[in-house]
Amino acid sequence: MKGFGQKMDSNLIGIGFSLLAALGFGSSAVLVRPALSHISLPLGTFLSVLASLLFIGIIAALTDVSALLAVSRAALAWFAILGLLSFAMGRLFYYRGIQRLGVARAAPIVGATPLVAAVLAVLVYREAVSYLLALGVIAVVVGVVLILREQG
Amino acid sequence: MKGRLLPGYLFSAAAAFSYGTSQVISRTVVRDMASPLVTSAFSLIFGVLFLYLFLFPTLNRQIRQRNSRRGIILFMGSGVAAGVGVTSMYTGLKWAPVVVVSPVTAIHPLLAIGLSYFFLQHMERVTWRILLGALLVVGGVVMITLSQV
Repeated sequence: MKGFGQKMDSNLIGIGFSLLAALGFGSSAVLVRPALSHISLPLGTFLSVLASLLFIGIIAALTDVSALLAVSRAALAWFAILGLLSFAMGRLFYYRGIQRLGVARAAPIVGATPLVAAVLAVLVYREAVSYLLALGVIAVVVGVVLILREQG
Repeated sequence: MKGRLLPGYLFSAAAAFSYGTSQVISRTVVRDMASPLVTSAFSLIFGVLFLYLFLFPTLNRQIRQRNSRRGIILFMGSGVAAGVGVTSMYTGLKWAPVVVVSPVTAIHPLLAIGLSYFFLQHMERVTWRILLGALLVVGGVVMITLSQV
């Protein structure tokens, strides 16, 4: 019974951090919209990625400095690809989407990222397609189509 | 769909594709090479370098201009908020399994819509169709996540 209680507590802490993560991602998009009235998109995107680097870099240095110094050359090549895809292209495109559509339309479309990841996982890793995955894909597609059909 | 909105949809879809591809790659990197936080830190270093290379002429000109302090604070705030999102998600994974953390984190588009409804009323229009579409996307993402754990 004590073990079950500890597991529940642990899950609740995990849920708390997950909610904080969702709030972080959500507010990040919301802050961009007014910022675009004051500063250009390229400079803003650069500053945003730089601020993320400072924040995460400090936390990584404080908590995992030995791991930071022990990365291999092969890993560096993968980090470069991830940096290009996620922080250079991904964030620049996302902010451009927010600039053109607003947060309310761009955020759900970009929020459909796991759909892309799932399709790629099926194609690249040959992962099986379950009923739940198929249902999820249909829900995401219908949701995005609803947003696309919104006029004005 | 109005033609003037099409580039915005294409940019958003391109962002989803970039993030999705990087998620698939980072699964292997995080499993075999480095911790999530180290991976994020180094990827961000390369992200800054690539952005500087891509936008070099524009950035150099804009950095020299007198830029709005408000704009700088808001954009840097956005970057810090995204950083809080990433570190909180990884911290959450230390306490609870993916099956708990990922679906909760996936609600971020709904929070973005809620926040923009309250704080960006003069800039954003949130309709029932957008809200329903976002609910379906989030529900679908939760199902996709649960199907993979």
